[in-house]
Amino acid sequence: MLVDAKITRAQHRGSRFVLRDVFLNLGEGESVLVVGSSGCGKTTLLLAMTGVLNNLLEGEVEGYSRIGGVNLLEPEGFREVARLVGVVLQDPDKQIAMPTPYDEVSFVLENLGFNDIEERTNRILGTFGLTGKEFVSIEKLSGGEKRRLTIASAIVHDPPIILFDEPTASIDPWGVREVRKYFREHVSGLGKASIVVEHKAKYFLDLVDEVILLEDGVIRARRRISEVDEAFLEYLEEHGVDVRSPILIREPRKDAGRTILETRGLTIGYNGQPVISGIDFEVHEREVVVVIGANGSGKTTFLKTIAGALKPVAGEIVFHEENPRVFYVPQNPDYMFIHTRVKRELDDLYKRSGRIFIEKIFSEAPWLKGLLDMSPHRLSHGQRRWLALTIARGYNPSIVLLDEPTTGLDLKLYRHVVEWIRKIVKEKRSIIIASHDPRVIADLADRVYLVENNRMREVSLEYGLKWLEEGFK
Amino acid sequence: MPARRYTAIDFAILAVVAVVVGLIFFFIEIPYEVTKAAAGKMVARIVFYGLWFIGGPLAGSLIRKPGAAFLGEFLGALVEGILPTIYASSVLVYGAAQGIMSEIAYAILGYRKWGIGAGVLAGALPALVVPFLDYLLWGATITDVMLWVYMLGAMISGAIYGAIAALIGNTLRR
Amino acid sequence: MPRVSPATWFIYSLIMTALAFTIRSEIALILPAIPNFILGLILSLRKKYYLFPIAFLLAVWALFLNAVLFVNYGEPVVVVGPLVIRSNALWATLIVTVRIMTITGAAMIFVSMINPRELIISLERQLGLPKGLAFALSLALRLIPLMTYDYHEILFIRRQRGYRTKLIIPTDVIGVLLPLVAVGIDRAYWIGIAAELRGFQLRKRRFNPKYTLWDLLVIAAAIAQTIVSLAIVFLH
Repeated sequence: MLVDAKITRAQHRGSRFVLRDVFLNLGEGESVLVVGSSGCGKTTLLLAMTGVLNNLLEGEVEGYSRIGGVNLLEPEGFREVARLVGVVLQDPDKQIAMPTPYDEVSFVLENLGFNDIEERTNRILGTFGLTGKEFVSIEKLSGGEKRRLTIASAIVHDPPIILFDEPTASIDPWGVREVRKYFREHVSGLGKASIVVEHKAKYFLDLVDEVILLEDGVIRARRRISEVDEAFLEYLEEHGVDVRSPILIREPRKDAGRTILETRGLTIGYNGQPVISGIDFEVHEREVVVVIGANGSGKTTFLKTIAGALKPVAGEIVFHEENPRVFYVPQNPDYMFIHTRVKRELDDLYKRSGRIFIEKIFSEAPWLKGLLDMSPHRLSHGQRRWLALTIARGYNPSIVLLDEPTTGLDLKLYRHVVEWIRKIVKEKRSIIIASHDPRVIADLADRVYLVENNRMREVSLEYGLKWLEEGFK
Repeated sequence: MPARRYTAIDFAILAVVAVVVGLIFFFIEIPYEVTKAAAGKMVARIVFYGLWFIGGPLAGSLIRKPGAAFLGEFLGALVEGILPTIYASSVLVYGAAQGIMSEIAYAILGYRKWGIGAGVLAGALPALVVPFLDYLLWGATITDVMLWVYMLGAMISGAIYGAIAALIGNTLRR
Repeated sequence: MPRVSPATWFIYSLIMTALAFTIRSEIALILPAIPNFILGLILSLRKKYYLFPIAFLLAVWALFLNAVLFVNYGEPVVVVGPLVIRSNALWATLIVTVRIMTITGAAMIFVSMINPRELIISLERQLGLPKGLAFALSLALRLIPLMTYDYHEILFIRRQRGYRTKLIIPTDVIGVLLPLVAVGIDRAYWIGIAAELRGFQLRKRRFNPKYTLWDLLVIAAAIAQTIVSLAIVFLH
């Protein structure tokens, strides 16, 4: 057995959540997919198995976790972890530590004392399409290139097992396609074992040998992939796992209100460098418009230009109302909070929107009462998303701009966010969403604009959905 | 006694503090010079000077290990040193001196207290040496009385921003 | 690799700074001040670092203002309306300018001759910078663009929310630093875990100094300037 882990109990310091009785056995070249909704313990499992939780984070882990015969829970075993595993984490910007691709890849080789560092580094950068970019600053790489770099530096030292922690959370469908390609060619294709932790099971079901469903810190179900049938997929879906493609069941809206915002021949970009040119775009009252496109195509730039953070390069933005109020909500909700306690943020909203609004908020989110003295930055991921959207509502805007509001959300949290966004629409506001998440089109969009080759055009919901859904295949 | 060994997580947090401090240096440098040119050194000092000291209390309250306060402030100066800035190497001298003084504050407290009060001390102590470094450079344009007044201004400002840094550190510490 | 290692320029600029801090006789400082400043100015203008001369002029102006406010005595030299500028204010400004010229000159030479990434590697190899500090510095380089983006995003959100974007009073500073550090700490946590999983503990110090003739020449230039300045101090 390559992996023989028996974790009877694992717990973060100061946390009430406990992972119990997780047993994992993997032979050489086997891969297992661990699925489950946020907070089921997927990431805790990875941290516990690798010995990070007890050796580094002062957490408690009982049991053992042997990889290649070395127990990583022991301090001496943990020293060996780099030889035994390669890791790819959720967000490349939360993994890449070095300023250039060359340094990032050679980092692990230097640590392990390899002799052929330069040759290996250049070879793997070539394999992953990064030749010529060895010494380019990381921030000049595209999202896809950064993702490839993290995979390259996970396998360059040839470990027998690769661990993936939600590798598709931060990337667009085309990035997912690349991850799948490299997974097939360089992980399972080269006989390496792997553990993939994901809530988007659909991206990996055809690539693994076994599926494990985690829920509330215990294993609810496990199946060999040959035994996964329709009933099992349905079972996974009931437990908050994304297993299917979204289906469009929305009826077209009949009551499009008057136009409140339009752009005429708008060209957007940074420092006069155009990113998207000649945009003719409009939004009506109480309408949800979704702008889709690959990462880096200029969706966020578009939102920021509408919000007034960036000046248009050319063309104009016309508001058809007297006091246009636009509010931009960034992808990362953490940017939104400027007070040390939740209560202060609510005081702020009270000043702007009055008591009725605050009472409405408390009736929508009764759990808020217990968290008033918490720092907004310490809330759970879902709570932070909710608070960010609530702050936007509190400013009473007529148009709310949402940048990737559903990226990295599991099914359960995604459904909550959809509900919250629908509440905003009910308050007679219009919404522009920038996204590459096909679910958003299926569940929220009234109209869709597609960004491709520096142009933006309106497309049908069906076309937009298909365009995104085909992207990863 | 808390763990003393530094992990890569601690060094990564130091890097964040260093960049925060470096960015503050970088963004404050011109406003500081402008304020100083327009309203005189004293005003500029009280408004901004404590910001120069926050690397110590910020790193100290986030990492809570011996050496963190010194490294937070010193690495911040190094980061500013490798960005192109006018003060380059002289900030290293200031950064080291300020870092040592913040570190002394936590050492006096036996590396047991990391709260707001400790932050105030770690923010205020650097003011004891910085005016003397200033004196070495600018001595000819300052009278002795003004030097002590500067020191008081820097200390008040440092105490305020030290408290802020510790508040932020305590709020966000994992 | 460049002929003079970045670590050598680092040491050179530290020695010059030490001179500016410690040599009490301003006459003795003129020797390092003028050549370093002129060389630094040429090098940094070639690299298009125009902020340097501007910042330098601002600093001198501030000095002058300070001198007029606090040490304005002696013979009147210039009379502008009600304002009388006296000899001591001018003299004080002049001699402190010599110190600033030494420091800025060395700083301009330093930043024009190095690039940050090579400097860190060089500090490790030539001067034995410990691995943890080298890691923190490399990561800081990587974080600068990310955190600059964070900073602008946070300022825009503040503007949207009707808060000041100039950081004037302490609560402004809290409002900006809080999200900036929160996002930064979250990144640091995972980057640190990733680095540990890639063998950070096993990493060895990369201390392996190799000095070329060019390195020695630069150090010799610094030492020569020190000796001449000290000699002038003693002769004076």
